[in-house]
Amino acid sequence: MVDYTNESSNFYFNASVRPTDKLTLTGSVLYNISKAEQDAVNMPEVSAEVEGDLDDQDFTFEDMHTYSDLEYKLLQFGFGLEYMIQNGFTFTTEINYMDLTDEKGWVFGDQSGSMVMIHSGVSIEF
Amino acid sequence: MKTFQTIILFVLVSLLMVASASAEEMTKEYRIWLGSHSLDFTDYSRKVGEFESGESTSWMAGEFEYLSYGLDRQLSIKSKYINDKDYSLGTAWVVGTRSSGKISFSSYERQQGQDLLENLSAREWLPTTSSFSGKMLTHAILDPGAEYSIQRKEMNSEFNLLISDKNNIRLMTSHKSIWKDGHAQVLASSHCASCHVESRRGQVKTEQHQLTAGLQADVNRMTIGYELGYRKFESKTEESMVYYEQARHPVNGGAVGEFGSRVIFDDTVVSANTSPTTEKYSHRLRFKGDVGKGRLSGSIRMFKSTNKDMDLQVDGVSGAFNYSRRLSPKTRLVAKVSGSKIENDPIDIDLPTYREGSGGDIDFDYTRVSSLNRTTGKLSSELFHKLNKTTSGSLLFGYETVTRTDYPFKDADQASSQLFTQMRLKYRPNSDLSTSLKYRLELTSDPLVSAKGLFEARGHGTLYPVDPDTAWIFYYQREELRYQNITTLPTQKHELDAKIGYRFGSGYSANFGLKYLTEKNDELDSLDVKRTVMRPSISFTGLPSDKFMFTAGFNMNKIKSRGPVAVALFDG
Repeated sequence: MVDYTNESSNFYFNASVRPTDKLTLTGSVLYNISKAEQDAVNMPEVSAEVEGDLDDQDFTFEDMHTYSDLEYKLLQFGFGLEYMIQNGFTFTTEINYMDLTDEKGWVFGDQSGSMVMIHSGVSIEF
Repeated sequence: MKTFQTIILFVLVSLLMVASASAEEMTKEYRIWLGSHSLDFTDYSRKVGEFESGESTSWMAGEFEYLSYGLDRQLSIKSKYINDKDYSLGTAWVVGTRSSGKISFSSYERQQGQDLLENLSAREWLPTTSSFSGKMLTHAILDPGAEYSIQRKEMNSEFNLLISDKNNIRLMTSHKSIWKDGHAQVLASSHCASCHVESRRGQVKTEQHQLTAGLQADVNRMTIGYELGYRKFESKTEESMVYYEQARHPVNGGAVGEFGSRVIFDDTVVSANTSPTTEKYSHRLRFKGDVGKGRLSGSIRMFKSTNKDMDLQVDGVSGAFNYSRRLSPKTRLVAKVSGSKIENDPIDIDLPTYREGSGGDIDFDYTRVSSLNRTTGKLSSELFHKLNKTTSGSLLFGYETVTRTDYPFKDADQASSQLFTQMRLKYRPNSDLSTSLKYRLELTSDPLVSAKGLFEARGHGTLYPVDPDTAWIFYYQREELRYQNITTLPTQKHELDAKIGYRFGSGYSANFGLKYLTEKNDELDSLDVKRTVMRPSISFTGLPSDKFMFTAGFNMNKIKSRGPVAVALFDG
């Protein structure tokens, strides 16, 4: 019998500020840590289980449990700006930065990478 | 092409709604956004950009919103376009109590990684040669570095139309379609005993459509409704053809004919990655209304689901009834009873004769009876009571039973039963502080098990050759040695849920929560299955001024499971 632990933690902060009637700023930070791991597998002594029939077998599974280990760290920053140029005409921009660190790299290989997304334009309301 | 037709239909309906709305005295608001959507990746992009459409940048993205409203009607249209894989359209309208509806269409793409299969690599150690030279488990990726992605499109619609004021007769329909189109990793295993796994690129092209239509009317003190449902799933995926290798001794490559007689596919090309076309029809009768001093609601449902490729069918009937009654100004009782019966067609399994011509000639053809066959029953009663101005609570007792027909073997109707109880307490001494506490206990006897799914007893002295002319004992005979029922389902489950909300000062609040669940099953001989779940959370919200607000918090989800690990041994 073996224990398998899966743990995910999130820390977050979001804020919105309107320094002037024309300008609104938003910001966000998210930090996620996700881990999964299995305890070491301690197989019983074979000779004690099968009365010597398989006693020439050598069962060692020292690293087998690490095949299930996963560990990701995700850091995300967000920034938004809305500036009203004149009534009904607003400039908007949204920038998101995400950085993923894959500490284990089992299954799919090392998936560490980062992304910058910029979503920007003008809005007309009437 | 159907997607294109759907969008055209969507636009036409929206224009019709706009024209209809324009005829009235309506207030109209428009919002148009035009801009760009750019992406830049460093290192591996498919995980951090899992729900982005590859590494594409859209230099012309847009959004359109329209809202018109009058005294008793409203129409809204929302649309967003990032690129040809990432967009959405939606409209909703209300015309008094006479008509309402909504239609939405959305599309996104999901990137998928490639499983490197590195855990599928092992070789048996042979003490006689002091080397890893025995039987082996190998894998091959036929498209290394391949990039897989699937575009998912979904359309939903709902209409509600008042047909007659007399008896408040209404027509209600809904529709849902899901299309998936792209490529995914397809695995196929071959060789004499699943010793070699191959990975290749496979197409994904599926459609699922679901329609419901029904009528509802008020009759005396009851509201009665009928609904017809239809769902179809179809795969238009091109078949992936897989060559199953010639079976042979996994170490020395000999005994081709003998090993070939042990497996189903050998030295042949067969299709993989296929999904059956399925259809499902359902009928649902529902009702609700006042009965005596209480309120009764319920539904009866029948369904038939068919696998069109194999001519297999699942039939089911279910019913649920709820009755609530106020026993006193501070006390209310809710009683529930439900049941269902599901019957799944058995499947005749036709297998090659085992070890034909090599000693054995065993016919393994059999009829597989489905473990889905079952009869269920559930009843519960919950009492809600307000103790005083600040405190209220509820107490629940219930019983559930599941009888699985012909499981784990013919005429063995394995039955599980569960007793459950739940207590909930809410305490709110003032408008700033609110607390709640819930505890639930479930006691289950004989949960579903995989019968004799693990562990073998000693074979010597128990198994003997079936053919008196040989000394061989076959692999299949080991089935007789298995003894351990396995399951991950618990016999005891405790669940605790606590919440505290506090508002301090003007514009500040904090929330604390803790969910704790522990369950175990220690009635399985040498197994001892356990699971613990803990979910603490804390959050703060602040509104220091009308120009600044913030939220911050922490939450965690920790799951610890204890279960058996079995390692397959070569040669058993």
